[in-house]
Amino acid sequence: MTPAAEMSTPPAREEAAAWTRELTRKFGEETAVSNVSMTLPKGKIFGFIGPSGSGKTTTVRLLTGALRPTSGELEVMGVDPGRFRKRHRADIGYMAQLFVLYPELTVWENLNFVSSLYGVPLRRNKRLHEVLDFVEMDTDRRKLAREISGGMQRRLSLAATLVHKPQLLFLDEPTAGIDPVLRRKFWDHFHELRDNGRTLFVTTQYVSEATYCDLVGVLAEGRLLMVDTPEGLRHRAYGGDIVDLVTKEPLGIRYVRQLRELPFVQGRPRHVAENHVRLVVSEAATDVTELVDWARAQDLEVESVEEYQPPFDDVFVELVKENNIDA
Amino acid sequence: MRSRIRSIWYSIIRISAFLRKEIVEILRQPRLVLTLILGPFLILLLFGIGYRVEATPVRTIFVVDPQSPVRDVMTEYTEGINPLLETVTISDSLAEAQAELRQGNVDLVVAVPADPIAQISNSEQAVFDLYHREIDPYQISYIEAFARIYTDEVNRRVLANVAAQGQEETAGTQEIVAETRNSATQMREALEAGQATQAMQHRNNLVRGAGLLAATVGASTNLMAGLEQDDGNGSNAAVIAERLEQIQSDVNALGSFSGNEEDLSEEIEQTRRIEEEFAELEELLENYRSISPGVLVSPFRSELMNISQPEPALADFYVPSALALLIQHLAVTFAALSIVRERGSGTVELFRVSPISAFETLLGKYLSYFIFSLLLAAVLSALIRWGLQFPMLGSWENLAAIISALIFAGLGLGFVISIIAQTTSQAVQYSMIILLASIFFSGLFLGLELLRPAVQIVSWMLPATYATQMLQDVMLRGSFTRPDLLLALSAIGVALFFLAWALLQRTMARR
Repeated sequence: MTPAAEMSTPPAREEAAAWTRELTRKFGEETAVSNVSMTLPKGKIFGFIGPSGSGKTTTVRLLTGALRPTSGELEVMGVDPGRFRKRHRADIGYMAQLFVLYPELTVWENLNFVSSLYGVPLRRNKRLHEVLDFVEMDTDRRKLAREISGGMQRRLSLAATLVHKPQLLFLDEPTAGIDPVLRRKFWDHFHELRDNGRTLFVTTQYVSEATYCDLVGVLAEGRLLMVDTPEGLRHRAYGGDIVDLVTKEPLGIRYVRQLRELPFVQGRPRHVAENHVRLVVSEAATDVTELVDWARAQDLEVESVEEYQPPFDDVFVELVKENNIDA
Repeated sequence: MRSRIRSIWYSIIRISAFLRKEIVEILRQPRLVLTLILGPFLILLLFGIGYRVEATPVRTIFVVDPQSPVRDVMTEYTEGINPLLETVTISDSLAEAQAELRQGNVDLVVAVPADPIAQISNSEQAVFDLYHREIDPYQISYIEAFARIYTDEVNRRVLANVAAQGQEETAGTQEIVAETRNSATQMREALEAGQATQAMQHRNNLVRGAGLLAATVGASTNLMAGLEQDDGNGSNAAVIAERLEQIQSDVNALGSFSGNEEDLSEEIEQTRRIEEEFAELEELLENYRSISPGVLVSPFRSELMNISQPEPALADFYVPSALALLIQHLAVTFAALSIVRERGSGTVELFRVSPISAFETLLGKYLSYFIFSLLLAAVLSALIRWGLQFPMLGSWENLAAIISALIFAGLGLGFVISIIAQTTSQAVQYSMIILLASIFFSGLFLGLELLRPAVQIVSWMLPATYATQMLQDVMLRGSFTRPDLLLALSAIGVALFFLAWALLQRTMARR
């Protein structure tokens, strides 16, 4: 079984960090989340991707116990969030979409406040330094929260989410509105946390960030379209892997017709350039060799043949198109 | 057991989150702190300096007809009758005086009746017409009271003049009294010497003299007996009139004396008695003349003795109620902005997900604001005591207990507002309504007894009302006589705490 296949097989309900079935939440007549069923494996990063207003935050709020579902079932760490005790809440870290800490307090005081909220023992200075080091803000600890940049405020929020060493983290659009370099750093932090055994549920509207996740749920109009690994999603979006074939000679219409007739080629190859076609194959790892053989048989000199990783924005558009949803 | 202790310890840690956070947040705004302490103090200082204890002088025009027989007397009566009466002029024309009044150049126009003597002679009261242009009901009451005092004073002066005349008349009778008394002495001596004829002659003089006295002294003293105030033992004039009557009666009893009686001891005894009565009469008349006419017509006056010593100055009277109002407002505003602000910024969402409970959140906020408000109240009280030289008569312990209960109840009110309000501006508006209600109904300016019982219910719903009553007692009277009010205020505080807790539980609950 390939890693992707292994990942796409959901764990048993009792072994999952969180689990939902037919989870629905309505606000009046409006359905924010509709029949969402998913399983979050422990120790993984579960990306929840969807455009603005697709129901990501509502799902997070349902999972953290802030909202009550209209219908459906859910369990987080084996417990219905409606029955959370203090110890369950202490195991959860929540980073809100907006900066919700206190502008008049310093970075250190904000962190101290959140530590107290979670009952972190009073001898906590070492821990506070640790998390501030983790988000690279230890030297900024005396600054007032209102005086630091938006990016630093997001990092402070992340530090506040981690200060009590939660096992399961819900991060609601942690990278929204910050520059690509910092976004990348955030994802490095998330990977580090995952490698330390934490489970992360990360929502984002940056489709490209799906690639950093172990498992991705695609959400649109409150419906969960699919849950898969990033590779699995690409595969689903295009009906297979995408391969770019570049030859020395031009690839005329005759060659393209022949390519279409190959059994492992899906759909119609597209010309990227005169001597460059992009085609969907069943399995890139094995079908690349077949393609080279085909080119030789046609006396074509292959310049390159390699798997193409389409950007997730394109993948998302394809997936949404497939599901007939206006993204 | 250990897990329970640990759970309590964690709960204390969570509560402490707010204890520190709220105080640090407030202290980080030094201007706010300065305003909170100095603002109320300066308001009280300004009030103390600016409040005029003296009543405003009433600028008055008297309108007296130039032909009026009382014109000279009225001129005299416009001066020194009342220190608050400032006579602008004595005018002949009512229309001109009223024009001055309309223009606001004077406060009062007194129109003296043209011929009051004629009216009085016709058994009618002479009426002073008083004109004013006040719209403030309190000022109108002041003018009304002033008019009443003025008229009473004029009446008193008229009566005093009459009394003085009466005294003068009795002065002329002194000679008659002496002569008549002499006749009595001579009659007794003639009787004792057995000289019946001379005794008869002296008796006739005595009867004539007594009759003359009754006609002269009696008339004026009877008049005066009607004017004078009675102290229950009879007025001076009434006693004189009574004594004259007695003399007349005793003299009349001598009318049966024919001069032929063998035993004259009864007649001797009777004349001796008459002599003594004359001596008394002389003494009474002397006393009567020596009494001031003013005292004769107004024998009583009142002097107020306040057992609350030292008696507070007028501005000091408002200090306890203003302090109660300010502290309540401080507590209500702190708390009212607290939770609504958290909700607006989204931190309530964080609390909802974290292990902190509504109880811990509320208790943490209560403690922080309570400590801070108590410190502010302590500084404010110290500034009032030593900065404004306010005479703090009661114990500081009682003061601390009352202020603590007030802060507790005020915070409860504020937290309820904060949870009910949807926005910060709504919370501010609700707080202002509480402040406004407290100004009118807590006894700050109007005594509670002036409010109808139904409206007093509103008063007793406000923590400041309880605090005002108790602080006035402690600070101005030096006693703490209403522990029931402290209990009631604390009970309100507890009820509001539970209400706020229930509301916050709903706010922080899963939705």
